[in-house]
Amino acid sequence: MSKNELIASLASLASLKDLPLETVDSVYLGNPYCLLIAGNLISNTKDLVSAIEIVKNAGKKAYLTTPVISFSDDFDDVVDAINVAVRAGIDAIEVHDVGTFNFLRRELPEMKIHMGHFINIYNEEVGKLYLELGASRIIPSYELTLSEKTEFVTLGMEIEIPIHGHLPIGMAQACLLAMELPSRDPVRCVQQCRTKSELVLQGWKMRCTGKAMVMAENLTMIEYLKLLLDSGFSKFRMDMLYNDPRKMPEIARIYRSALDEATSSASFDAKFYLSKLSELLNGEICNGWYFGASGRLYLGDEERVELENYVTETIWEEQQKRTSI
Amino acid sequence: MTTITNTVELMSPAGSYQAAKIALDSGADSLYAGFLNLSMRPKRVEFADDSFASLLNLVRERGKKLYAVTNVYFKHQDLSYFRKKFDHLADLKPDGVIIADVNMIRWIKDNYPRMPLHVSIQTSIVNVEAARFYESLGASVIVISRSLDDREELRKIKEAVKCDLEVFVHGGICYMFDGNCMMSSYWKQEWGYDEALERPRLMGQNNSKGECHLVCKRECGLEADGRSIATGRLMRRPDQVGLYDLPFYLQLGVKILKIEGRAMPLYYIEEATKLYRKAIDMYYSDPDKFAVPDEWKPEIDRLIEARHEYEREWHIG
Repeated sequence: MSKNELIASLASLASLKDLPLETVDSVYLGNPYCLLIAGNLISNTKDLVSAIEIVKNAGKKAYLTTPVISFSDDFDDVVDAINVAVRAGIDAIEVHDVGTFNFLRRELPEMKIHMGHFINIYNEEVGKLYLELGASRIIPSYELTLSEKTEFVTLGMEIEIPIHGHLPIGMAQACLLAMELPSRDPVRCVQQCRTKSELVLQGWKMRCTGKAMVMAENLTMIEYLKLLLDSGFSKFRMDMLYNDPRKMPEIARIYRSALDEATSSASFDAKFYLSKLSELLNGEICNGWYFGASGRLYLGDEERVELENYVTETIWEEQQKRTSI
Repeated sequence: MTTITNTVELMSPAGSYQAAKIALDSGADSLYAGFLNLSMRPKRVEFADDSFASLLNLVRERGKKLYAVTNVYFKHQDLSYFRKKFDHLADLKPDGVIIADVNMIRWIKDNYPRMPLHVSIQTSIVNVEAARFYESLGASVIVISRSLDDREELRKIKEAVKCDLEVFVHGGICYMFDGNCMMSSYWKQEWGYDEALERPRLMGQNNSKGECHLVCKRECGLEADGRSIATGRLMRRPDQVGLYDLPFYLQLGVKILKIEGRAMPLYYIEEATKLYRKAIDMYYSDPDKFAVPDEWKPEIDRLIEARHEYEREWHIG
């Protein structure tokens, strides 16, 4: 049996029901950016129990994600969700706030804890420390390059990396949509985030989900699955929180097929899978963070090699010239 | 009239030697200054080894304190550089370091147990459990997130930990929670040669190099379903003005009140430090009667305008 794990992250029971569970090995449940989002499994404990049951009955692992930031007053809600999830048999809990981590390691020392992207793990020594303190999986910062992420693999720790999705770029306290989108209700959240909203700046853009900014494009590393596997990675996340639910089943099937082929076959038709996925996503793809380019850009194989050569040759050469003058 | 002993420390930013002198002349009890390549600000406002030593001499002559800011998130390739630089920094004996990397917090505790550790605002501490976590790692002081504006939340943290609290009382605020912003590298990062590190590296990462493109201060448009809804500097948050909250902070027992602005112009450093010095002294001379006089409003407005001027100077505002 492959040790690879293909993981989907989904916000609600409705989106879970859209996901063909045979395509994944595990599911993160919940949207960590805002507890007010309708159907958010972190704040809808009845749905959370149902969701965990569905995932476990399908023979898959269920993970609960927790909010990026929890003020002390919100903590009780997070603890409620955790307790419900534990009783329902959750397999692990993802944390983005060290306060939630501290709570879990003290109150639930047996629970597997995944250290999420917003914990800001930028080097493998920090990863190692969190493992010593009680974590079981490390998710290095999303903005690290592939080479920087590979340093974690060398220490043999359990590492998860994203291969798909509108990854988060930042987390704010206030909901920009509540402040700017018209609403008849000045106080209560009326779910303006149901409308697809974007912030446009000087020729580039981000998707605004309210409190979080996420990539306007979809990260995809489908072209590079073989490279990721050869580099020692085995746990791959599809962040589907902001994918069109109508496209989600096909996205999951494409990644499943791609990962299976990349794992078992000497030849992997990377261009084929990239083409299928790109068509589905209207060409709005990116992978820049992985290769030392701006996050919103996509680097195909030629561009990636060109950039590597530029760094290792051109920059060094220029420096040598400057030094010798 | 009730007078009580002044126990709070007013900490001002030092982005240059001149700024340091001005801040001290204006009444700062302590300064915070970035160590080259290790702090969350551009290099032009950081101090290399010798210049940091000179700064420390200045501060010592005045009988004040200096904290070294080393609060970036270190990547693998930065670790040995940091350790080498820290060994040198520790020999200089600053009054403490401001740091975010949890493994380095532990490393410093193991190798320099007497060095006071201030856990940086980059860690976005907003709840009791996070405060307890960093205290358990050895923090002497915790810098509270600027987004924590609820007094009861702050009180809960103060009551839960024994370590001291450091609170930003005036200055610019990021749109995102500190440490939770990758807008800069998403927009624009490029390879360049770093003379100090003597190798190529990525330029334009906020969390690991302090190279923020100030995205949240720029003009943008909000579109919903393809329709333009709003334009302007939609993410720009107004400056924090904590003058009116001084009694709460001081009664709560906050140890350090901090002014933001290592990259701000000299007149800002001078005016902000003088304003808060005057306010703190006024409070302690008669706490029951403290009130921010109306006559101070023009000074406050000048400080707010200074931020706008800075943003215009950098072609943002």
